[in-house]
Amino acid sequence: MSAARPRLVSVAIPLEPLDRPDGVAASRLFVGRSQVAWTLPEQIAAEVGERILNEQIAPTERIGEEKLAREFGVSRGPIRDALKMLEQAGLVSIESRKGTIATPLSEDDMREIFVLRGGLSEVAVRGFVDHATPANLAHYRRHLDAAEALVDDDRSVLFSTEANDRLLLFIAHNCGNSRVARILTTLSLQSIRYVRRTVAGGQNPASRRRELVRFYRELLAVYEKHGDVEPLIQKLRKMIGERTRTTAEVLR
Amino acid sequence: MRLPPINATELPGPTVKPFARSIYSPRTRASYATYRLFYGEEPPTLSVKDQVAVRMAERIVEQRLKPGQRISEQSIAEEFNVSKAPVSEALMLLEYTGLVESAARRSAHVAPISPSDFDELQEYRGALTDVVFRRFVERHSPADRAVFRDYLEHLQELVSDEARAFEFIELADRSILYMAIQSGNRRIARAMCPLSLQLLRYYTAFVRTPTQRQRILDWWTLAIPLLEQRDHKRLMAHAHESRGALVSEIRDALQAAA
Repeated sequence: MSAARPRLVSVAIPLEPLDRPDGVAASRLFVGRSQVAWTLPEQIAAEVGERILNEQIAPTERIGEEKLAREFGVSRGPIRDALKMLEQAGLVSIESRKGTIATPLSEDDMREIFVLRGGLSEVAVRGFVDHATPANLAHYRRHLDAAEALVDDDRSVLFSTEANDRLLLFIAHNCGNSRVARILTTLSLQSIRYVRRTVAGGQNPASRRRELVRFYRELLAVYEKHGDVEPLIQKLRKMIGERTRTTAEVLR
Repeated sequence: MRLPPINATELPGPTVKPFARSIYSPRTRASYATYRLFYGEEPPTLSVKDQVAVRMAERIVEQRLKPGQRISEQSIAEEFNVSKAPVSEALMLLEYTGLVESAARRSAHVAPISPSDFDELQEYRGALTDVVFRRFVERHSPADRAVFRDYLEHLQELVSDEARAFEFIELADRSILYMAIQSGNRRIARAMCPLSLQLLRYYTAFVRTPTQRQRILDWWTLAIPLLEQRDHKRLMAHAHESRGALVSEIRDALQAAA
């Protein structure tokens, strides 16, 4: 793995601890899986997924099975299986004649993802307030502290963005609905490329990241005081709307 | 590649039925599992494994294969007169769709049903439907309205016909799918399709009485004018209010069965 790549994995992970293969892609692709043994296709999917997320493989770039097979020193079978995993996750598109490409980025696609993610996040947030246990709340608080510690430092913007995203995933995975959790995990993976575009365009400033951290704080307060979650839902909707607009501008 | 022979009565040749055409017309039901399984892929023809998947999906949804029942790859392969490879691929597809579960790739069984699974599905679809309504209310065209009038008319024809109860349930479900597809968000449509197959299992098993079907019809009868008037607020209120009644009846029935 390249040394230049930001190692986001050192951000505390609110989901299952994932040591190997580390990375942003793996923590979504294999969420909840024990890391006792990773199959060959899983390791390859994690690595190729990571490259797509950081645009080392650019959107619409062709991904040759042969080339990957040579690089990883394996046959084409595991490469094909890895690409299928990434296809299900929405990071690559496999076309029977043309081969495999990294899924293109587009404004329409982004809007689809954000709308769906917004709607399901509402369910997740409501469910989290109903279902959170003291144990996973302690977990949540620790990660919120970690996210807060990162929020003002512009040099760690990627870490901070990642920490915030993982908090939402943590909420999703403790909302009492495994289907919602699963699809929000996939959507997280798909939205990361867009979010990173806005980060690269300087459009995810500390103020905006702080707004999100504050939201997570308020959610904690709602839970502890049995408060009304609906004002927070409105706030979430507003934040997602704003982020959709900013991302659209960056893409144009 | 040479295809294995197909049992003519069970698998009637390649099904050429573009998703779009079959869903737009309320009068097709032949391939309800086909377009829910393959939405977005628009296969001009179905491969052997796809055809096996369709047949198995129909059996599971219609409860000819019971929840929890073991599925033997061998006996399916024999029945359809195909090799085991397409059968196991078909089962993987159905596993992805949530109709089949397998324990460590060894023995597959029909996914069980339970009150908590039903609640989860219902909540998930509710969230998606909220988004769909919001978008569809803004976007629907005169053609969409014509389709909905057609759906409604057909639901009215079916509602009191006991022998066609399944068609009624499937068509009511398809109306939601139609909206999802026309809402212009492919991801939602794609998420809705497998969900719809899973929920159909519950609805066909537990919506049994004409009164219940009438209630579904009443829901659409009220909802369609609200859709046409683009009255999002009242549509949402209407959706949330009556989602409750039928859903709790199904849940009670499930609990009684358990």
